[in-house]
Order: sequence, then structure tokens, then C-alpha cells
Amino acid sequence: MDVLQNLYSGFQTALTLQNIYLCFIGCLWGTMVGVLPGIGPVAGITLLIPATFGINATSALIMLAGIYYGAMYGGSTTSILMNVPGESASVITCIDGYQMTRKGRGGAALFISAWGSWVGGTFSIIGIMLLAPFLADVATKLGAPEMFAILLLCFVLLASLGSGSFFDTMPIILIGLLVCMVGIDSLSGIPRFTHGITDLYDGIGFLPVGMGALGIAEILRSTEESLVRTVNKVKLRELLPTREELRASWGPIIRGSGLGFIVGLLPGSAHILSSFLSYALEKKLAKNPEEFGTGRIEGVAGPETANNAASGSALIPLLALGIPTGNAPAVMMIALLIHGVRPGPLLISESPEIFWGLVASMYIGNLVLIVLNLPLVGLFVKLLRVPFRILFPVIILICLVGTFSIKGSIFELGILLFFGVLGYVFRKLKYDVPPLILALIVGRTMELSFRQSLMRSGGSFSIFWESPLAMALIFISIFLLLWNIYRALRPKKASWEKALEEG
Amino acid sequence: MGRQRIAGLIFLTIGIYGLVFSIPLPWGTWEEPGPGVFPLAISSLLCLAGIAKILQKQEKEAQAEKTVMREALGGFITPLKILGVTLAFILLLDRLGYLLATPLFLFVMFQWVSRYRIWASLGLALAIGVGSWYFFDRILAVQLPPGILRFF
Repeated sequence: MDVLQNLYSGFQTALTLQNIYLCFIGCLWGTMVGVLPGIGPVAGITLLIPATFGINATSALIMLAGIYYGAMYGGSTTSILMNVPGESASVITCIDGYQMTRKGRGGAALFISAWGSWVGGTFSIIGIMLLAPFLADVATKLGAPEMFAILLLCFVLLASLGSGSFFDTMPIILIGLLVCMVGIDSLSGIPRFTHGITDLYDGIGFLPVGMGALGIAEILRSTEESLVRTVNKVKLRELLPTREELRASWGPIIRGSGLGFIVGLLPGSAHILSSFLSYALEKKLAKNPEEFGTGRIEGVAGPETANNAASGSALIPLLALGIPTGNAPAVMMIALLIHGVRPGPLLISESPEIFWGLVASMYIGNLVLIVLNLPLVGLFVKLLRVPFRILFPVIILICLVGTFSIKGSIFELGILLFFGVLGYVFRKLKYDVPPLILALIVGRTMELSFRQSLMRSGGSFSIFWESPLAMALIFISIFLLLWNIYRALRPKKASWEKALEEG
Repeated sequence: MGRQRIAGLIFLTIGIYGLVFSIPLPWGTWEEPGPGVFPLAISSLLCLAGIAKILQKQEKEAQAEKTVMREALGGFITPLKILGVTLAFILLLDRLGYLLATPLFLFVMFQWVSRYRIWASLGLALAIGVGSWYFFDRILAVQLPPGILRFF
């Protein structure tokens, strides 16, 4: 009953004219950035952060979340119609989606994709509603050793499940941890790595690092290719799927919802992983798996549902524990911190209007997205005709103004550019950059938890074994670490591991 | 040099930097760990990761990676141009002010990087530059640097 009452009050928050408008703007902008290749949800959210400064935190979160799940909807459009993934989670949709377009069934693929996205999205909202308050309640009982153990496991999982190998991702996490040490130490008041520069006393801001390492780096990488891109004209012959297509897509949609929801809770590129896993699952379950890749509706329905379910459930660790498990939730956390709201166990109890307002707005946003992505899909396709060589300087400009607007400091722009270069170099070297941002955000909490634990125990490490939860989490972390070392040193790899690496 | 070695060098450089500046920090005691402990541990691990990457067997990847690196270097020119123009914009922003620096930044981008014709570049730069100033400064009330225009 509590849940329904809270949801009712959430709808009262979300159904104000301002919030409906912001939810619509978020969904619209999200669909646009999803459709445009080269601008993902992270860049989409960061670009609109400055626009949220004049509004309260609830409204800001409603709009930014709209961009996040809107981008997941929009990402499939170009995958299906042009064989160009608008968003990394939609890469797998290209395989069967584009083949369906070539057979004249592009409209049906778009319909099933939007429908599956809606089912997956709604499923994950119900999950957020039921799971996040419970998890937050448990989290309030956690002490410093448990928090340290959770974050340690989070980093080990991030390195194990991320798109790069464990030993490629770990150094990136370490760099993020080192960057978050810059500034005055909150326990001793001693400045670290500041070199007498007063701008560094407060530490390095999340926003310039995030915008630089993710936004600017992505633009720099995109400009390596030709700046002139041709867009084919697309005819949407039939939007409604046949009865057979509808029947074939139900199973993948239901399985994709469950799979995506569970995978979304894990750290790393969950929305990408979920779509790949869903595709593999559907292929495994299919009567004729050899038909996958020739335009099977199951190859669109499953992955598109899974990535939307995963993007929703990825908000659970962020809202309940204050741990962003992906790059888009990390940017949303940055936005909330700028608004003076710290996501974590106390968010739901102390600021219920933010949490329940967001949940209610997600129901509304999912309905808005169905409308935007079905009848209006043609309009979004026209967006692709905006030349990238006009778009990229504007995006860089917005990143610069967005960063400048936080503190009004030119120094922050220098940090933005520095991390833009660093992010670009790491991308060139095929390293995953988002773990750096995640480490930067939660690194200080991890350090504080470690130091507070030792201070409480009088310097005894036994405090980490006394709590069963902390002990279990540290044990899993050590096991995963040893497993990854074993995998790296082992001369021969299993066929499934090779296939995963090649994939 | 393969990508692993370049990455290893970057990790090692950052790790050494961390080590050099975390050693002078107070380490405290086990009962009360100081601010130097965590940075020291992280920097040491980063140095180890860097050394491991540099020493990692390179022969498997050597030839293929050389080709990849050569291709990668070929695509550097446009991003370098963009970085140069952006750096110049950052350095000039405070002196010239947003309203002058932005159209200039956009004009150079459209002309030099995007290769538009001069009049198209000028028109786009003025429209987007002034439009963005109006949007950020007037509508969103972002405090943008006025630069030399503060005297007018």
C-alpha cells in the first residue's frame, strides 16, 4: 500500500505542467541524440545540464532521465533504417533490423522495437519502484567497512564485465581514483596534488572530466571520419507488423525484459551487454538459428527490449546506493550533485518527492516515447540530414559553456580540454573511458570508508572480516581478481571466451 | 610501438607522478591512516600496471598493431586542428569576451575544419555565436565573460 501511496504522490509531482513539459523535452532531446550517430546519451545529458540550473532537482532529474531512456528508444531508428547504430546498445539491432528494412519491413521492425522498448522500460520502472526503496533501506544499515567492500566489488565487477579486458580496465579505474584524490583531504585538511593552485583545492570537478573524457573525446573520434555524411532516403512502407511478426516477438520481449533488468543491475556497459546477451539467447532458442542475420524480428525485439530494461534498472544502484554503475547514470549523478542532492540510501527517505516524482515521470515518459517513436519517426530521420560539420563545433561550444557555467572559471575549461585529450588518446588505444568517471565519483567515498574503518577498529584489519556482508563481498572481489589473473596467464582460452572477445 | 606499450607508458608516467607527490604526504598510522596512504597505494598499483603493460609479450600483436597505429595516426589531423582552435578559444575567451570569441571560434572551425565557403562560414558563425549568447546569457542567465565589450 505504501508503494501505491508513494506512487500517487509521485504522480502529483510529475503531473505538474512544468514537469510534464520537461519530461517531454527530455524524451524529445533523448530521441534526437539517440537518432544522431556520434552523440550518445552521455553527451545528450551533459549538454542539457546547464539548462537545468534554473529549475529544482526533481524537475532536473525528470528531464535528464527522459534523455537517458529516450536515447535508448531513438538509438534503434538508425540501426534499423540505415545500418548505423545511433547508440552503442543498438549495434546488435543493425544485424536483423537493417535486413528487415531491405526486405521492406523496416516499419514493422521500428514498431516492434518501440513496443519492446516500452515493455522493457515499464518492466524496469516497476522494478525500480519495488526494489530501490528496499535496497536503500538495507543500505542505511551499512557501515564504513561494508561500504568499502561494496565499492571494491563494484570496481572489480566493472573491470571484469566491462567492454575491455580486466587488466585494461583496472588501470583506468586507478587513474580515476588518483584524479579524485586531488584537492583538500576532508579528514586532515591537507591539500593533495594541488601544487598551490587554488582552483584545485575543491578537487577536480566531475562535470569537466565527464564532458571532456566522454563528450569532447567522442566528438574528436567522430571527426576522424569524413565530416560529410550521406543519408539515404527511407520509405516506411508498413509500420504495422503482421500477426506472425507480433506472435514471434512476444517471447523475446518478455525474456528481454527479465534479462535486461538483471544485467542492468551489474556495473559496466550493462545496456550494451544486455542487448548482446539477449540476441545470443534468442538465437540459441530459435528453431532455425541460421535465419538470424537475414531479418528475423526476434533479433530486433529481444535486444531492443533488453537494453531499455537494463537502462532502467541501472538507475537502482544510483538512486538506492549512490553508486552509478554506468556512464549515463554517472553523468546524472553529477547533475544531481550540482543541484545539491546526493543520491544514496537517504535519498528515498529524505527526498521522496525526487525519487517518486522520477518513477512517476518515467511512466509518463515511456508513453511520450511511444508517440514520438512511432508516428513521428519520419521527422527524426530528417534530423540526420543536419550536416555533422555544422553539428560538431556547436556540440563543442555547448560543452565549453556548460563547464564554464558551473564555476565561471577558465581553469575548468583547461581541465575539460585536458581530459578530452586523455579520453581521446585512451579511445585510440582501445581503452574504455567511463570507468575513470565512475572511479572519480565514488573514489573519495571509498577512501573515506577505508580510513574510517581502520580508525574505528584502532588499526585492525579484522573489522573487514567481522561484518559477514563485508567479508563476503571482499571474498568475492578476491575470487574475481584471482580468476582474472588465472584467465590472463592461462595459455589457452575456452572457445566461448574467444568468441566473446572477438564479438 | 604497439598500443599496449603506449598505454603502459601513460600509466607509468601518471603512476610516477602520483608516487612523487604522495610520498611527501603524511602517511599517518594504522590507527589513523593519513592522506598519503591511498594515493601512494593507487600510484604504486598504477606503476605496476604500466610496467606490466610495457613488458607484456608484444610479438603477437606487433605487426597487426603497427598497421593499426599507422592508420590511427593518419586520422589525427582533424582532431588536432579542433584541439588547437578550442585551446585558442579558451585562452581568448576571458580577454575578448564570449560575444566576440565565439563567432571567431566558430568561423575558424567552419572555415578551416569543416571547409565551408567563407560567406557560409561567416553567416553560420555569426548566427550560432550570437544566438548561443542570447540563449545562454539572456534566457538561461549564465554569467558569460564580457571581455573587452564590458567598456561599451
